[in-house]
Amino acid sequence: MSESNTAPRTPGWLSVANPASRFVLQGELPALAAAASALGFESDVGTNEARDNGQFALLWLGPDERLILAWQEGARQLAPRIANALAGHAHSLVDVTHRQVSRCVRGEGITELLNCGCPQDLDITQFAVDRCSRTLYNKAEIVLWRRGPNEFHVEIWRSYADYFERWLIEAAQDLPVSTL
Amino acid sequence: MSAWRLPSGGHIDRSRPLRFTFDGRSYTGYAGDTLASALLANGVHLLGRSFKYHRPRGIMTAGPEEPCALVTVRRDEARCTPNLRATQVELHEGLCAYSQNRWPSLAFDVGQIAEWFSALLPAGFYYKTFMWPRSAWHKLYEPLIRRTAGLGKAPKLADPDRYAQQYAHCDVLIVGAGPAGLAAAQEAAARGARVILCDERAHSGGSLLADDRARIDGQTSAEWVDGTMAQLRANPRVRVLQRTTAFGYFPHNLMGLSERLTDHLAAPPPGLARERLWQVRAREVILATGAIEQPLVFPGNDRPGIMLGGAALHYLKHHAVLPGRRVVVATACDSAYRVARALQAAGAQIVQFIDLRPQTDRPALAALRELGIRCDGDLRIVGTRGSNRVTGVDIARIDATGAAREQRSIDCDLVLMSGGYVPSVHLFSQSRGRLRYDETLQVFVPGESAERERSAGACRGIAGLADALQDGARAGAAAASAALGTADASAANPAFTVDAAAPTPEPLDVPRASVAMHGPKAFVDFQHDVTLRDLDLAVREGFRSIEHIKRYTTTGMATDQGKTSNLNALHHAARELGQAVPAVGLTTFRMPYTPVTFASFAGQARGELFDPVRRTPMHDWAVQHGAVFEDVGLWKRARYFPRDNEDMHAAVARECRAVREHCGIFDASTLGKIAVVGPDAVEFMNRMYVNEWSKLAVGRSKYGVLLRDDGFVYDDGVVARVAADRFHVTTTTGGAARVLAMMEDYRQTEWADLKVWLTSTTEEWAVIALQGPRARDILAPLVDGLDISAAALPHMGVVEGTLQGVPMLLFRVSFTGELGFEVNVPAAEGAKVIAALHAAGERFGLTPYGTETMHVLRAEKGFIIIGQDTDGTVTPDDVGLAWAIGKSKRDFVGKRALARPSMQQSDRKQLVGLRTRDPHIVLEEGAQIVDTPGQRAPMTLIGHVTSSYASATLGHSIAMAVIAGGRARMGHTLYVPMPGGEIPVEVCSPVFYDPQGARLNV
Amino acid sequence: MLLIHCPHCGTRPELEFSYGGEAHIARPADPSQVSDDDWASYLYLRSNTKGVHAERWRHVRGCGRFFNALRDTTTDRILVTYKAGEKPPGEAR
Repeated sequence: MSESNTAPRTPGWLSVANPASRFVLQGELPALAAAASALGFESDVGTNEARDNGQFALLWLGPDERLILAWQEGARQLAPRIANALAGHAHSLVDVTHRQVSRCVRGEGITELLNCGCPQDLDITQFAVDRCSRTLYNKAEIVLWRRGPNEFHVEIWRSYADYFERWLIEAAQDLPVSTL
Repeated sequence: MSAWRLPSGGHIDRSRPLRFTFDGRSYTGYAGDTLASALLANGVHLLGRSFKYHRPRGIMTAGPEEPCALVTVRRDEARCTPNLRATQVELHEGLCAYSQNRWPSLAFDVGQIAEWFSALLPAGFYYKTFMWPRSAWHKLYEPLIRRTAGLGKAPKLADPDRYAQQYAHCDVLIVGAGPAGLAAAQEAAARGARVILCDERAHSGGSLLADDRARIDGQTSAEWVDGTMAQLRANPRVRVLQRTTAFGYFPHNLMGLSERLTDHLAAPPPGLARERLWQVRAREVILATGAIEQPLVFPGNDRPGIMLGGAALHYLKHHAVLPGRRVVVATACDSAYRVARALQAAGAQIVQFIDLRPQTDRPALAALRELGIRCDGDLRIVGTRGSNRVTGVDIARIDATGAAREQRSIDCDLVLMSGGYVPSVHLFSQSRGRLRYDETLQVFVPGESAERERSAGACRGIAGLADALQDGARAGAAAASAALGTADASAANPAFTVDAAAPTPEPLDVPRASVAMHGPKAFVDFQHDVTLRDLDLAVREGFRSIEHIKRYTTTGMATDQGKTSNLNALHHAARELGQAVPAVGLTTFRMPYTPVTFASFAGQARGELFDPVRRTPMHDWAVQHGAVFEDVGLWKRARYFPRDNEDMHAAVARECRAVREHCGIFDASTLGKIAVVGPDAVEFMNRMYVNEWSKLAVGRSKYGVLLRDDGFVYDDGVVARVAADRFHVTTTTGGAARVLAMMEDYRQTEWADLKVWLTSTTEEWAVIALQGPRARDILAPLVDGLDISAAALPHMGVVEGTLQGVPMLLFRVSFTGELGFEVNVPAAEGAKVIAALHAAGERFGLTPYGTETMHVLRAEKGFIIIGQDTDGTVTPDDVGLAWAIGKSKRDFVGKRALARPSMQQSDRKQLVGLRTRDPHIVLEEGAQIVDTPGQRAPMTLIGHVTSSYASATLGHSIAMAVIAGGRARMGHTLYVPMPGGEIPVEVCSPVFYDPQGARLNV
Repeated sequence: MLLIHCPHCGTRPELEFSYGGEAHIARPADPSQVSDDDWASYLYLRSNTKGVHAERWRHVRGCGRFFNALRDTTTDRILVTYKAGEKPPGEAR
């Protein structure tokens, strides 16, 4: 992006983590449970919970809303598969593969860095591994998923990604953030 | 060694001398000094001129409560901070400070003539003196007052420093690292709580900093502070923030902290933020903010060299500075006795010690006398002498009639005053906690908390070091238990062994108002130059409420928030009003506790980070083709594509012609898109939009109009049915978020029974519009065999397919009046696809166009833009969209409101076209319209221009307007009054081009 | 910045929420049967309570759900929050 070429070079603690496809699934609980099962999960995820079985990640976004990340499988193969599993269940399955991008932020001090813009308490005792939440990073909406004590997966709408990355890099100057 | 520096002692580093300048003169201090202590060590007492009278002012305190010693600290022209308290400015090598509010120099200030006219400047003088003539206020009085009255000047250059912001959470936040705060932190941390401890000074210890005699658990106070701090720092659950002021207490235990990161450094590391703004959310808050010593009110109590007793002790013990050699001490409480002894021991001569209280036979007085100090009870200071520094005081005994007896003069170079300690309840008051008046202490102390908060130590009137430590420890234990939900900690009773007299904040044991001494220039509020006489005047003129007296006299309204003035003012006012203090009330303490820089609030949100800058997937393509961008909401949109130094007018004219004659290509990705999906999607759409959707076939689209329930147009856009249970809704660029929010509102709260769900897909799709007679010729070869002929894909048809293998949702739509397509492809493919389309179209004359051309083309067709041709008071019929309404629908959002008589009146403002008589005149958008020429103001306005352009296609200007009863005025001449004269216009249809739509259906 | 308890997700900072005005103002089931005055009241008339106020919030930057809160407008204290469609808890009144 020409205007964003002035952005500082990407630091080691920030990387791209895009899955092959993404879907937003909405519906009533039986539909959500059926989808979870079709994706190979034993059950649906609980409130603010994310799960990853290697093939798919299932993230709780709201009581009737899930985000599905398919690490390898493209949208065109996956959509019919989920739709079949949901036959008979009223639901909405919408391909958002390209709506957003994924970033992995991983490093010592990453929690504080995220707390430069995210107002939630990200202490590991309050925001444990595999907790996920839609929230804000300053003026950008993000979905935050803790993958480890010092690692978060971030989903962000495509056009906000530049803002998000610039802010992280700017804020990192004042914090002891180091690549793991 | 400076003349006033002691050879040993204090918390300064004598191995690190620091050079600094004040008003251009060089001085030397030491690491550990503040600007105030370093200047005092150099014998400098004159630091500034007062706000209103330009009186010389010095250093009164040793902390954030300082009302007088305000300075400007300058690193360079841009890094220049006014109104800093010299008592808080840490010295560093090369520090460069200036006094304020003086001209031409501090020692000789022309503005001091204000004092000669002080009789003309009583309380409320600006309400009275400068009322007439009215016009003179802006031109004369205000600039004059602004020039002479005031504080420092803000720098003119942009702030080059960086500022950081941080959210933080903790179980227990402790404000103040004095004895109570440290004990609280220790106890809370020991119980496993996440603790944040902040203190505004560079060193922890609070009142212990000025104490070298107390022993805590067998340690000196310094050892105990260092040991406790080391323990806290070693605990990973504890964060200690020094140089950090808690400036604001916000609802639900959110505290604003301002941390100063680099101001104390001679050479801040480049790139390091200067300040960090913390927003701390604490489960429990402990305020351990200490107490503030109060000045005495007597005539001439503001001269440089007159300071608080506790401040002198702080300079002596903490900075090893003797602020004077011939000292007069005046006190209304016991703590000054210790100050006198300490100064005497350090080599100063206490030339007179006076206790204002009526008893003359106190044992403490006798004890001082034994040290050779002349001391008396029941005396008053009735006047002071000296111009730029105090040189003497007049003292007298006041008899029952108020007359001065036994008056005598004493020469001195330092006057210490002590009016008792007052709990610092600012943050408590900000938290909306209820203050309680303590009759014994004559001060307000925290009463009932409004938040999960507790005060500890001197800030709640606890006197004595041992009690303060224990109070802090108890608060720390209780707060930790409350935050962690563990067992009640009330049993906790940690013991501290304390010996030797510690500096204990002391109340007055005589009525506070009684110690104030009337006379000229007896200042109550030093920063705003408010005297006892001003308060008297306010009472005399009928002000009864302390809130009114405050505003009339401006007492307590300066940047120091009345830290050294509120209580004296209140007590005096209460006495004058003949009321009890609590009946008169206390004014609210406002945030910030001490001033916070604007830049700190802005933080990183400057420049590129002020707002997200949203760019479409085809942004680079537009840049390559020379686009000039405009901001549309947060988006950057290509406005036009100038070639060969074209101006916008020429570029737009060329782009318009290209679309009408050949074809144009346009990035429409910013349009909002919402997937409305579910078995009840049709029903939901029927209820939301004015249109009838039941009969819309899959593969067809329709122009939809969305109203609010008040009947006014809210948004519009093309809606496609892509499956029986799935609609692809488009919204305006600016409406994307609010339309989705409105739909969610109805879906969740009004029609929760409908099985339908909404998902924003705005950024899923890149949208490329191909518009113009050659659009199909360009597109057809690229769509992998898909039939896009007029028969297969008629106007408003929608089809899924691929474009050179890329999945595509193809709309045949037109916002230009020409044959048009909108190619939707996955966002990640947008750049590739637009390049392919552009390359394929070049031989057909395909031309990139921007939003400006889009606006002209749509206006030629009479298509409205939401928010430009509508303003939230426009019905569908007003803008000619009544045809879109599904007539047989029982209900939809806005339908009921449209049935109100006022929504159907014939004189409503209706959208019409306007043609100027002179085809070259392009009307100004927003210009008002009248129906008869030659009107004088106030004219009868009947409408306004909403859109106006030069139309290259038509060869004349075009405009759209909303005009009362506009459709009945077709062919009439109306007038647009402008500064240059009236412009006659003719009302016409808003559809200027191809009214039959022949060009669409090809 | 308030702390608001979302009935679906728990307690979150106010930044994640948007305000939705007074609660329990139901859109008439058949607006065509409502008089002009009643319709105007539905659209515009609000109680402007001093004290405990039932109001709508949406956890727009969280789970996305609308819900209701009883907030004391004089203290900003939120007494209770509950899901959309539920009645206000009586004892909090």
